[in-house]
Amino acid sequence: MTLRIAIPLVSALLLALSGPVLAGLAHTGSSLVCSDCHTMHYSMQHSYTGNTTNVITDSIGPFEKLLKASPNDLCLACHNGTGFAPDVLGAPTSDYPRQAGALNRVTPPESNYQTWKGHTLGSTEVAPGGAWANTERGLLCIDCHDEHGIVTQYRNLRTSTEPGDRFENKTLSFAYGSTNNLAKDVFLHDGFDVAYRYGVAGTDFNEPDPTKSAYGNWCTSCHGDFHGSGGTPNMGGASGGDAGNSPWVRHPTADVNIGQNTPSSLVQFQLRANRVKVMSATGNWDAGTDITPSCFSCHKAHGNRNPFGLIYMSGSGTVTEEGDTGGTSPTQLCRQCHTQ
Amino acid sequence: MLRAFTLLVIVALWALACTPAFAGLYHVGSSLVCTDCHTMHYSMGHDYVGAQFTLVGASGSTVARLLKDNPNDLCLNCHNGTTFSPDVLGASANSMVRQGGGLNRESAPDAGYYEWTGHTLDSTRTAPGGTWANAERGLLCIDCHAPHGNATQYRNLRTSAIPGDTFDDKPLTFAAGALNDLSKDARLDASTFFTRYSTEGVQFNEPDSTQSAYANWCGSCHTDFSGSGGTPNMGGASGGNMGDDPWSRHPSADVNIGQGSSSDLAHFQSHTNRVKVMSSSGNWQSGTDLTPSCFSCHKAHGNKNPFGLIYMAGTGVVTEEGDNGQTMQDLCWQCHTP
Repeated sequence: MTLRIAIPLVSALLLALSGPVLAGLAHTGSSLVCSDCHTMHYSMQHSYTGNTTNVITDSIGPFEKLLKASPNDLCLACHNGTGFAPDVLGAPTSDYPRQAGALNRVTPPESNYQTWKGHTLGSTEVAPGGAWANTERGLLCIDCHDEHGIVTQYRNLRTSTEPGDRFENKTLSFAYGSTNNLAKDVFLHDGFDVAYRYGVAGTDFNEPDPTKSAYGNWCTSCHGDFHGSGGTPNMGGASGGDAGNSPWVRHPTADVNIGQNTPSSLVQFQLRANRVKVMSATGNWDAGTDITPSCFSCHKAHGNRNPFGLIYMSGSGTVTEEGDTGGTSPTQLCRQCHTQ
Repeated sequence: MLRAFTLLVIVALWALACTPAFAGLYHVGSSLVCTDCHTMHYSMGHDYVGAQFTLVGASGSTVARLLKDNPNDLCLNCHNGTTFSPDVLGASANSMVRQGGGLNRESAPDAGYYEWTGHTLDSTRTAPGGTWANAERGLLCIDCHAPHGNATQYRNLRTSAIPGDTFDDKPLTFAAGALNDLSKDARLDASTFFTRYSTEGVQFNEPDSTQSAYANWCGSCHTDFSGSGGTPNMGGASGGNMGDDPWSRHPSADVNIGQGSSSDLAHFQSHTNRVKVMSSSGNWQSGTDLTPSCFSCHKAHGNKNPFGLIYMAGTGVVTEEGDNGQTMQDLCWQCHTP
């Protein structure tokens, strides 16, 4: 079934990817193509160009909301094992390290990408640090990503204006192009190449408010306890560090710079040839003094082949999705910023 | 063939001239002319005014039921490339934007009209969403249209009182005249030949706000594509209710635009050009009871777009393909917001 769905979507997505330069992501604006995912009658006998290899001949459907397949299968038809769209499940089909890494799933399992190494499609378990779970259908791609896109949101991640919604006011804005915009949360460097747009090299994180992390705030939609400003009960600490008098009870994801009143060392961090991603209010990720770690500094959003999707980055060797070729343990990740 | 054609032109023109204005359709009542289609001995040496006449149709021999030609060829004698009757195959010889659009044909493809752009004459394939096929002869005009007409049926579309018949109890009524009749399913402005068959002269009523007689008729062959909300093949619920009972096929009845669904009535009404919809009040411009059905998205015969879809962006000159629209999204965005 996956192949059946993938064939028509290839052409549609290629068309979408050739959209306006400003469109940093697919599934928004002119690249939001209804027929990528929906079929009106679950009976397509041919494609929109008359190609008869695009057919729906099975009796599995129809599916709710007129989808061509169940939500995860539909997403993965383009986003797993293809070269034209970001491959988000398990091992990559391309040679660039993905910024988000790789998901795993309950059924069928992906070799080396076990459920304890990242986000697990189909999982009905409660999100660690929170109470949210999709107990009915298991974790869906669209639990995090807005299927109809949000042109202002990084990776089409969900946000809502509805009071009480899990993603209420979870803005995670981004700038796309050759010029950064420090008022945005993420800077996606200009590049038509999928590898660059979705890879480690093409993504950097701004820090519009030095006391906050929009990224961390977004993650807390499900992982409630893991993020907050210094001094909040779930985080401990204090704004700007203060490790002595108000020790942090959870690792900060905002509100304290590396080396700022903490046992971390900016010099140590900047010594590394390979460094984990950090936020910078000035956009100076290499030599800035305003560098702040957040969720993405230690974890791949989707996961990888390390426990918890951790990034074992020793600082030397070739950068990989697991860290770099020199990294083998979580200690090396800690020592990106900490000296002991 | 040519002579048969000439005769039919004369007869048809005569019939059109003599037909009462109220008769929105041909081939019914006084316009049901036996000799339009039948010949008694397949041997006509002259026509009905004495002019020389050679009866040789595409078949070249006698045809069952005393027809002058094979069914599709016979229909197309008048209904393809002529200006005195609706041109139903491929590009139109008339200047009207046909409500039914254009058929295509396997044996004689018309440029731009392919098997995947609409209904295909002579096709032996099974109707999508159903099990019906004319496996023996391929799709015939008269598989859908009653050759001897039906005065109460829109476009002479078939209906039957025979249990188990494909068209068992498939009424699709129409009102033709100056006044609409909201108890009928369609309204035809029968004042001129053009309005009678063009998009501008046809509107769709909604006598039962939970049903679409048009979709019910299409369901004769395309079984899975229509039904009320909550039926297994459609999903959803009466009146929309997208949250708890999502539709699994696009509704063709039983839910108004903007009513418990992801559609937006104000958005629809903001367009200059709009696809056809049903209205139980006959207020297609500003009503709040507008319901899409099959004809909202598809030309009944087809057009030059895949699936006979109507790519209507909302602006520009209305065509059989839509208007300035270029993609399926333009159609989706008639009712849904981008």
